[in-house]
Amino acid sequence: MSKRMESGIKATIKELLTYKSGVLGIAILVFLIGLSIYAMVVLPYDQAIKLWRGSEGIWLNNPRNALPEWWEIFVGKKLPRTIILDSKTATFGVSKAVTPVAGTNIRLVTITYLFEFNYDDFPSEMNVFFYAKYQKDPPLVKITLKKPGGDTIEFPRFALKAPNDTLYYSISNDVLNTLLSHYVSKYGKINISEKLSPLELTFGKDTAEGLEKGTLDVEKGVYRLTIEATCFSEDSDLDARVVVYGKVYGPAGTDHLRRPLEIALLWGTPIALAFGLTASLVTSLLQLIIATIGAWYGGIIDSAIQRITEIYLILPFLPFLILIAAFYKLDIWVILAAVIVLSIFGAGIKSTRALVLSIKEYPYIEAAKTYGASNLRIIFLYIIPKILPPIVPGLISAVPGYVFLEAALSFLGLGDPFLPTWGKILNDARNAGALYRGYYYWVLEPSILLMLTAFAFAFIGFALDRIVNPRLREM
Amino acid sequence: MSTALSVKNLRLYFTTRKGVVKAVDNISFDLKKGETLAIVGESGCGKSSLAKALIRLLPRNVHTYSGEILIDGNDVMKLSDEMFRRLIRWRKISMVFQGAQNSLNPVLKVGFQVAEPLMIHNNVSREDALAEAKKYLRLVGIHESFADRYPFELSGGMKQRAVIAMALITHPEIIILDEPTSALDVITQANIINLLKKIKNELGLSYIFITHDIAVTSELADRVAVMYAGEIVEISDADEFYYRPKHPYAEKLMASVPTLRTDKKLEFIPGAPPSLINPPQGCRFNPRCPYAFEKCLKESPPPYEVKSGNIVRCWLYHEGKR
Repeated sequence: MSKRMESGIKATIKELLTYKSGVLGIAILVFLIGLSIYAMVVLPYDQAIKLWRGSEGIWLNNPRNALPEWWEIFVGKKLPRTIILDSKTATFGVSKAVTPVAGTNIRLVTITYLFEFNYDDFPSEMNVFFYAKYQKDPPLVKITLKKPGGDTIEFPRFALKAPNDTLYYSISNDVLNTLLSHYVSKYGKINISEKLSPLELTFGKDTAEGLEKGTLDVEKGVYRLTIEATCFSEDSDLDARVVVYGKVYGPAGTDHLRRPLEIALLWGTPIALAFGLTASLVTSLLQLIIATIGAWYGGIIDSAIQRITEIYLILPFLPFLILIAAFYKLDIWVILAAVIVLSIFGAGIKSTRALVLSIKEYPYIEAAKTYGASNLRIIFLYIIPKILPPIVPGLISAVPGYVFLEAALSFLGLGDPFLPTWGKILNDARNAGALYRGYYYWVLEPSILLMLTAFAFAFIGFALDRIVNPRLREM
Repeated sequence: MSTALSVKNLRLYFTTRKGVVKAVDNISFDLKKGETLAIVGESGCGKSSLAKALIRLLPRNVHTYSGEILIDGNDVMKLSDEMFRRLIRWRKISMVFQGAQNSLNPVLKVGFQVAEPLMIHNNVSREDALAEAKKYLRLVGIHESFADRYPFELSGGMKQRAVIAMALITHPEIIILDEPTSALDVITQANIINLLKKIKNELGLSYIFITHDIAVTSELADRVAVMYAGEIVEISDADEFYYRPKHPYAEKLMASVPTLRTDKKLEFIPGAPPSLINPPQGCRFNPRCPYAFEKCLKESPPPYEVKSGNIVRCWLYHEGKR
């Protein structure tokens, strides 16, 4: 029996592939399934949740709102990647020297960071994270930056305020003032536009004519950043991590919380597919069974089912669901159950009932009654298999509806609070004003995946419809 | 020969919007063991309703369902629906349906379908039932490899054979054949008839053979019952019937059967079959009967025993006019 079934499914797929829409649909579906499997293998569920729900701390080394790396193709420029230099892990280009001053407890720590900056655009941010160990007096730190052209900028010495102090280089006023006064002392009074940020002043190619916003080029080459720290006790020490944040990140970019979007995009795929397929399958099958039972037994059972269906058809589905989701913070399975409960008495009941009423009078049903087949046997072995095929295309075509429904709920902030889903990304993007601020990738990526899902099932549905209803073939 | 089935005063009336349809009206007959009783008549005379009444396959709009059906001396009319389903259907009486094409479930494999009654009635495991089904498919002349096919892969004759196998599989004593050959070509008809004969002799069955095709019955029938407007108007031995039908309606019926390459003028019966809602007063055939006289218009004729077991309902015999 099962062997036959397999060959039946195989035959159906073979036939599906004779239609262009079937090929396209299956190709997209295979891609999405591949993506789901990849997501589940590479990024196990718990880890994904932890990464997605984790505080900003986890992603401190990521740029904020970075574009995906492939965006460069459209811009035509080499956009900066993130450069991380850490003295603790001895990254390439980092060297650290500790020299105790003879006769005192003072130790001099010198860390040198060498990095190449060969991009066509300025970095988005730059931070220096300090990890200091000290007893009483925090170390005094002096930062010196040597640009590729040989220009050396010395920043005033300052004391760390805490063991884990951070220098927010790109927004620090002290840094800005030092840089401005550096150029003034170098060229005399020249025209420096006021809107220039510390990063532009640091990485820009300075000329005697002035530094003008908009026309400023990036000075490419090897930068050398030196941290000289004076520590005041025997066991005190200092390490520091310099992060020069890029403007692109990974295959999907990052969001406002520096999280890589691919986590949610990847995990959104199995969730969307599972949700859509389960909801559609369970709803269709339950509708089928309920309608068949009603039409078979007739009388009070049938009337009751029909009246309930009519009431359900009047109830507005989405507002009802929104109401439920707004009052209870539901996880995805409860949402799924709610969706199923709200849609089992749908329009499908009516069409299935019409089919069953005609099949009920078929001679072979009468024959089955005669040789004593029970009601349930007739319903499940005689009627349902007969009306199942015409229902399958509808079932497949209904999947995107449920995928979009889940996305819509997440978009409205009513989805599962833990799961990273496509709708959640859209919600974040909307809250962060993504379109207003030009972060199109943030909205486009989940939208394209949603559309692909819809296309896949719609195409397969069309092709199946033509297989199951041969009369459509001529059209 | 002992009696397999005895029907007494069986009535089956339906309620319709226009009135009560007396589809089976006061019918009595006996079926002997190993005998084939053919029930012939025009379309709409109540043949199929009689079959349904016998196996208690009733539609929802039943008005009256009464009488006695004795099987092995027990009145099965007294059984509840559930008991009837368990004890009688397919155990004692099974049925081959009109139009085998439509009486097989298109989504079940033939073998499984044939095994269905066995699985339902005898609690036989699926494997054993399938093995038994293959045995019966062989018996009706279908290669057992067809057990794994779906009905649409079989020809009309093969489907008919499969349906016959389905009726045989639970070893019933009586089989109702409702137009078993009506949708088949003559060669296939002949094959099926020969098969039915062979099976009857091998298994010692009794047939109730319902058809409008008198030519086909002549091959198989031991006795013939003619139905007209819900009543049996004549029951005769087959040998007797085909040469000398008694009832005027039976006469006309025989005269309307075409014969090959003879110069016989085909006759027809003027008028239309009567309404079963308001049958004519007196003898129901009187508006179309060429011999009708006064009494026929007033009173319905009681059965007249021409000779043992041969019965006719016609005033001509009562009045000694024949």
